[in-house]
Amino acid sequence: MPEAFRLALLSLLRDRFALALLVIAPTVFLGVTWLTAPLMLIPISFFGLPGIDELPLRQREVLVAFISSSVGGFLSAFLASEILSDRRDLGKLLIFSGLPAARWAGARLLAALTVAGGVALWTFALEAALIPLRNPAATLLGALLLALVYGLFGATVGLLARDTLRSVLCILILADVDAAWLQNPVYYTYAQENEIVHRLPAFHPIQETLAGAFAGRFNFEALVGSLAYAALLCLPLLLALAWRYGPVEISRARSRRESRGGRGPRP
Amino acid sequence: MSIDSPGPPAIECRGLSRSYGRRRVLDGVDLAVRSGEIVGLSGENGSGKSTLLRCLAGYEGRDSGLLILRGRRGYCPQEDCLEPRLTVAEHLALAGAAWVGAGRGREPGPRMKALLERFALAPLLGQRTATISGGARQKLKFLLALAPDPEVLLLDEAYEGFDLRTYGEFWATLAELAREGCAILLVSHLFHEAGRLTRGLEISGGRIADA
Repeated sequence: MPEAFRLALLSLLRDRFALALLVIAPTVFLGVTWLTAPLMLIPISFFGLPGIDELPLRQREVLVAFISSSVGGFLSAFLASEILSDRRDLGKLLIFSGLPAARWAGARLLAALTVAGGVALWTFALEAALIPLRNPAATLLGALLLALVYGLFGATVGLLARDTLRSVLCILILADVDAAWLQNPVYYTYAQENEIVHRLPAFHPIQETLAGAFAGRFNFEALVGSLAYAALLCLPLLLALAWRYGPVEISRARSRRESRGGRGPRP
Repeated sequence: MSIDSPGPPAIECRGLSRSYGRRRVLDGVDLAVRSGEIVGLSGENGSGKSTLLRCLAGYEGRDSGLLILRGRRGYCPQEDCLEPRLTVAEHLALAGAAWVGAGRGREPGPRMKALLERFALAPLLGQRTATISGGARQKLKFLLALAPDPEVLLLDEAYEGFDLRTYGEFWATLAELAREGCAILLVSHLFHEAGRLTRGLEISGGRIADA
């Protein structure tokens, strides 16, 4: 597992396109937002924070927080999908040769979530450089939770779609519709009142970010909601893993069982 | 273990069927390869040779039938299975992680080192697979199949792109493995290879017959 984990990360670090995207996308999006967004105050609702229902906030600061979340979510999902996609089926070959599927999948998933965590740190650092954050720890927690939720989604998409273009399309649609548009009260006025919007994956992590950045508090309800969403996303992820590696893992396990007693261990 | 050794075959396949939509590619295939045998599988394009190997390797599901591989396994698929951004050595390190009961070191063992020399891959250890030739990539795929020190070896056109010297080394390596008791099933199109095989099989109409 350490070797599969290390080499999954190394392979991504050698991907110039992914690295360029990692640097350019947040810098450009956040830079443009900060330069163009107005400074007027708008009322922003908070959920799950006792004593705080609404606060007047500068539009620019709200937009930086939302764009930071959406670009972080997109990158987390995209890089996770790249790591999990295993387009050439090297994983199947290794599992056939004796590597337990759980070790291969576990190493890849851990690598994907490590990268997602790194993305969250990076977008948080940019956000912190652009706007004042009242509680940086809670804001970072929100970014990490979004990276977790979107990372799991991206990992599932990568396993199922395999093709980069399809993966990117799926991830863009979610990141764009959910984190960048529907959750964002600057772009979508009714976002704060709509129950359906509250059920989307980015809602709880973004509430954690907002609570940290502007209310200076941790949002326990948002933390629980995010973790519950992440747990829920593990189900399609496990099904996708079983679909990709199940038959070869069963073949490996059967071969192991059949060889017991008959043949000696590896010299 | 030799060909005449008692016990069940190392590769056993009974009544294997596989369809793509309405097209039945494998139709109740029966196959047994014993330890020490080198069995060639030939047939027209699209006759199901690769599908049979992919089913045996668990890459593909099957509609019905029984498949058993007994012992450590290696597989050289027809498709490119190499990660372009990893080096030759890193692929071998990953394969090392797949070895049952093998050490955890990143260095190839003595047997793999000898194979690297034999197939002239040692000077390419530090190169990414995206930057090496097609023949070298094919050699690496073959060595990845040998990495588990297999008792069952499935090879799908494994010598594609080999030069003459490497082609000779390929067959010499297979002969050595067979002497050690490895059961080898390989897809082969070339009739002049018949002398190197224990026996040849032909797949046609989804079924297998002696070639």
